[in-house]
Amino acid sequence: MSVVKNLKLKRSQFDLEVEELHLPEEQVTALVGPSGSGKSSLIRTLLGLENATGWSWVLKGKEMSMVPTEHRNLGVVFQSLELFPHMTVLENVEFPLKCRGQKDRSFAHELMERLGVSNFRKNLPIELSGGERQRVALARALSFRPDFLFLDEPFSSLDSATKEKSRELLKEVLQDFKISTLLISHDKEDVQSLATTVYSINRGKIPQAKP
Amino acid sequence: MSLFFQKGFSSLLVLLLLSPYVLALVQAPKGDLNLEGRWMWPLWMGARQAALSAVLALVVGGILFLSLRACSSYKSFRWVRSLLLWPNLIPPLFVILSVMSLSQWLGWSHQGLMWVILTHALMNGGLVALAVFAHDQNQVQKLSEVARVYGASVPRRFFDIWLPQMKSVLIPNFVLVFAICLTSFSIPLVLGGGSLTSLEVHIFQLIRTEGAWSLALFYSVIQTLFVLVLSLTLWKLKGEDTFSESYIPPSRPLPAVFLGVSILPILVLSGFWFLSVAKDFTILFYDPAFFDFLQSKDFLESVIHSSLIFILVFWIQTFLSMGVIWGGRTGFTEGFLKGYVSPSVAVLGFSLSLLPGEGELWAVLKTSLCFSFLTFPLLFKWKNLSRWKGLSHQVTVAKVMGAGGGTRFWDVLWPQMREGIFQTSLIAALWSLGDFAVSSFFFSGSKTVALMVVDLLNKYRLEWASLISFALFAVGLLLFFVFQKGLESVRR
Repeated sequence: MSVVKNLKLKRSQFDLEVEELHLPEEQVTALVGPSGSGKSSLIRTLLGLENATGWSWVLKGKEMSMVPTEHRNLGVVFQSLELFPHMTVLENVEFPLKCRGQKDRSFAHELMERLGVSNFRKNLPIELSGGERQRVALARALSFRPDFLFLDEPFSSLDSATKEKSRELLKEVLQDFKISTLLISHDKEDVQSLATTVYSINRGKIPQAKP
Repeated sequence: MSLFFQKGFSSLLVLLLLSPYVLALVQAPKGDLNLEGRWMWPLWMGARQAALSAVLALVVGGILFLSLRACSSYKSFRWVRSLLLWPNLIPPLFVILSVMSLSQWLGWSHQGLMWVILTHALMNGGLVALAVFAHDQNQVQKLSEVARVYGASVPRRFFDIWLPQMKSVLIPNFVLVFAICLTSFSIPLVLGGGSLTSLEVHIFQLIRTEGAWSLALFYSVIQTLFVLVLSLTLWKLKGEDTFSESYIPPSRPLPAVFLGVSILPILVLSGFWFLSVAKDFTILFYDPAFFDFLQSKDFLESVIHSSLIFILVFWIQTFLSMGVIWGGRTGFTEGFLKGYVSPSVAVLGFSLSLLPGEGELWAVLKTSLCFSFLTFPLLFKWKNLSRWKGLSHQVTVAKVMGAGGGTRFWDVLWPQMREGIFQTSLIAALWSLGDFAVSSFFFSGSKTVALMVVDLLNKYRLEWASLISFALFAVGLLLFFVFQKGLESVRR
């Protein structure tokens, strides 16, 4: 179990204030709340994309608040996926490995096979369907075996049939890889089928943040 | 019946804007087209100047972009944006004076290709910076953040994400600045000296010194076609909207010290002139010859002519805009305005000067018309076209509800568009105050304030020229602010 402590971030409408947030290891924790309640700000702070001071999060023996974003070894799938449009599927998935100077790409290729995107390896993201793009984003997020995975509304842009399939696939992959995950979703079905722990957030505060 | 008038009016406007081409074609047979061995040379020299200016503008734009990334609030963004767009809004005369003051301060000659390129780059660098910033904000910033999460270092983020993503902005902006600099007239005319730095200046010299209309028209057609191709390329490439109001404060702005970069263009293109004005003011205050000059009949005449041109340009621009809007948004009018490229300044100027009508009042009228033809399509596209398009649904609703053409115009379109129309008309009128290129075709001698300033510069009276221009500039600025306040009170 990793614990986020004393996280405070000033926002224009309200302040994000998290005294303690317990994140069980190798499990999926879901964070639910209305739009603008601070969910994405929390993820961005944990990723190191927002400036907050005085907080702590010890993960695998490392004090994450002291580590620069690029060395935190975290994976993320944003709502808009943010695939690099000028890179092929393969280049997108291998990008984190390239950044780490890792020569062994076998795990990434295996993952692409598993997620059913290896046939599109030479395609650009714009040539893929919504579901395919979503799987590429997931492959990229997992290709370097991150210590923690963030999923910010990962299925919101998919139709209901594709969403169902993607959800099943994600569940299998997360169970196999046993990766600690924080999921943000509006969809009750996402939360019910994927998460083992559920917290709710409102106006920047999480009242019950222990499992 | 109403539809008939509307269509007729649109066609009339199109004919009006096309008339310079017709006039130029009428003049062309007066000289034989004599293409000598080095006829490509002026094209090459003009293209070289435009390409070098565009490359330097991209570099300057890249540096200026840092000041936008240092903004931490919408307020500071608006300030920096105004500073960056400033050089595009002031008439070239003032820019030329500042560059001349800078070169005098450095002890260098103010003429040559280097000054033309530097001035063009500083004038257009702000446009590039704003387009780069808009794309960075809309797309690249998020991709860069994701790359950072995945472990990409700063150089990797720059070379693997930022630069490939920015290609789609840098290429259209290169094309845009290239087109602007290729057709540039006033700046190469004065700062280029006798050297061939712009095709437009070459066309001007061909007509003025050799009367070679056919050759001038030949180059003008090539230039127009070239710019048309560049416009179509730009339309295909679809760059970012430089004038976009949207702004998302960056989560990690650059240190505030980078805000200082934004004053670079203003410093070179206005600052040195202001400094020289401050110095000259103390000297000229005790110079009776200068005050005698200000009270002379010639000077008074030039002030009257400039004021008349200012008023006429304002109203011609306003009526042209009203006419286009009243004519209704048809695919033809819109497509025409989007693709319209004014013929060369020189060809247009000389063509209109050959129309019947002698005397100074005719010169005032022709200058105002010529200036309006040259600036109207650009200003209308910049400020009014998208607003006009945005109102098309309201017009349809009004039409369905039974509103006639007049009601749709006066009750729906005009109240929502008049502010933008008056603003663009005022900008054109202010530009005309500092214009010396267009008016030189119609007036013999220094009969407007701007022409008088250029005449003083040619007589090496930089300090007199500088002070008179400053007064002109101050009047223009005052008019702009009074007008803005007036518009605000009307809005309230």
